[in-house]
Amino acid sequence: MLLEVENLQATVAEKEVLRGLNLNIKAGEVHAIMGPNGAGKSSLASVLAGREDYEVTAGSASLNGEDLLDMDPEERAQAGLFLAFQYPVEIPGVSNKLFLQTAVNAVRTAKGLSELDMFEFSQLVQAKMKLLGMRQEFLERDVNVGFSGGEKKRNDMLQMALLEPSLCILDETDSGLDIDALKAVAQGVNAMRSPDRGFVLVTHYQRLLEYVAPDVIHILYQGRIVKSGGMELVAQIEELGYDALATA
Amino acid sequence: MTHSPLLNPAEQAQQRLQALLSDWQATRSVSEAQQEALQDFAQATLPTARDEDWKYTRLAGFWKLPLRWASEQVASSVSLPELSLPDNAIQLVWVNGQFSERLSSSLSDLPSGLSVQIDSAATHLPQSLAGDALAAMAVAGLNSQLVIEVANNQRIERPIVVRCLGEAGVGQSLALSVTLGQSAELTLIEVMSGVSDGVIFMHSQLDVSDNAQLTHLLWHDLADSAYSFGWRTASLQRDARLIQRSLMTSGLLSRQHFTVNVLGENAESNMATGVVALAKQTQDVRTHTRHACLNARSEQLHRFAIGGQANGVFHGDILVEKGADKTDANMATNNLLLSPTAQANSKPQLEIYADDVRCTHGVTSGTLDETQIFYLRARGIPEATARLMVSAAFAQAAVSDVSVPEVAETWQSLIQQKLTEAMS
Repeated sequence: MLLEVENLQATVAEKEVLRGLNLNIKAGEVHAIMGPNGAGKSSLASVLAGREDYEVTAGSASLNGEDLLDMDPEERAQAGLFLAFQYPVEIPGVSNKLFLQTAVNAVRTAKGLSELDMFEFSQLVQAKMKLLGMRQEFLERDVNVGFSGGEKKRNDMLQMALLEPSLCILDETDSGLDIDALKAVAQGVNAMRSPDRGFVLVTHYQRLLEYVAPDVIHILYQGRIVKSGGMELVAQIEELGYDALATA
Repeated sequence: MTHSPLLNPAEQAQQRLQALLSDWQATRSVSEAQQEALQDFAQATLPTARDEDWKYTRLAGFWKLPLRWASEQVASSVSLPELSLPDNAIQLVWVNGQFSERLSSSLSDLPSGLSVQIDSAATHLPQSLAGDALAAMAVAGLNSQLVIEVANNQRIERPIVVRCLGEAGVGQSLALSVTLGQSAELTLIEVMSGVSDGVIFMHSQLDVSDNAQLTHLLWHDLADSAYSFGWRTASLQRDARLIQRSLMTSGLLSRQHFTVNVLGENAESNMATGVVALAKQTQDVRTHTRHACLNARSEQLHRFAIGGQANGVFHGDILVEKGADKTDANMATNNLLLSPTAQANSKPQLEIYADDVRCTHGVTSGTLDETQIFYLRARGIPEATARLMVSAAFAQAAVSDVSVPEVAETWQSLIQQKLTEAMS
């Protein structure tokens, strides 16, 4: 199993946000997690990525059989977990190129691979940028500074393509995007789909699912997954709304 | 030398330093101004923490320093520390207060329009430092002065690099006088390297004539127990431009004054400082900007990254005189506190006597942004590296536009090295 989450319970600022969540994802699968505001969607992404203001109070989570909850955020990333942020962070003064090269080499070092030099990295990043239709100037700018919302998300997709994680969690990456940016995100995900990689698309809207077809859809409600199924669930959410569907 | 038991430690120190300077003066010819400065020093009250200006910059350790004043002898074994500089740089090197011909570039093939004189007669003494005991001490003990003149309309392609080295326990004092003629251009680079328990005093007078441009880059590469005090006074005439960039990361205590007199219409001063203070360092930056004419501009950015038990002190005042309308003066100070025991003391002041001006000042203080650190860690970057990247970027951003690539690279690595100590 790629990701195995059992009875996960967590709090943030002493408020319960996950209340016994179970989720299993096999390599090659794309899972969408949908739910109303405050259901715990972003909390799930944050807890899995290791945000320090979240406290896990019970349960377990493992990636490829390794205990995720025992790892620092950087160790989780090195072990193959990738979180695409709802709000990618701006870092003035740090060039995107330096950031990306440092990240790629940190992950390579952790895997016991040699670091890429400037030339090797440049070749790799050019290839990935071409794949995502990104311009060269992206590298020279400071990390996410002055980027439009769509550019920030595209930058996250570039990081995902460079780090080649085994599990990608997209935390409402599609929120607030125009259709072109949304398509770019979908293009990033589709280009990266492979039999040895899994995806969790955390989303508030069904629009992304028109461009990335998920294998499984889960409904997250009050900190638990209350229903799982196929695309038919999307129609039911539309028809009944989350409350009725969750309590039905 | 005996101390009267009635003197307090500061007075004892003053007596000791005064005797030191008298002995030093006795072995050489000194100007009247230097003798007067010695008198001033003898009569001055040494500053203590009770003085508002010295509240955060404590001199108690300095007064106890076992100094010997720079002598005529320069150890022939002294070698110049490696430093990456432009190939065509004109290097002028002082060791223990003495000009070293051996370590300096040849002065026989200077570009036309450039004059460089080394003078030990102390004729170009700095003015208007009355009441400052340290400045008096610096003038009384002035070892040597450098007088640089650039003729009208001459653009000097070769940067001038002034390097000051000091051996352990040596006190030295230098003065620099730079005059740029009309429409002249020059890049001046100052590097202070002091070895342990020493002090370097530096006075400079920078006169920038009509439409001339001076780029002034300054940094310290001092030992952890070194002291440095500087007074740099610039005068800008009509359409003149002054670009000053400084990097302060070393020494136990450094206090640098930057005075800019904006005297001509449409003149522009652009000043930025990057500071990294760690352990028990005190880095003190003082700027005094005086606008005395129409339509001139001054921009300042000072960034302090402060960790350990270090102290980052900033005092900046801007005076806009009556009639200096349309002045555009801005001063920003940002402090990044890297530890709970780090201290930032910033004091900006505006004094405006003109009617139609645009003047701003602002101070921000904060800690590292944890969302930035998490973002980097979530990409596999270890926490210590993430903290280093973000804090180095903070300090570097102030001085990232340095126009000499070799200096920009040196500064970048000095900031990185320094902060690596803090993060490990």
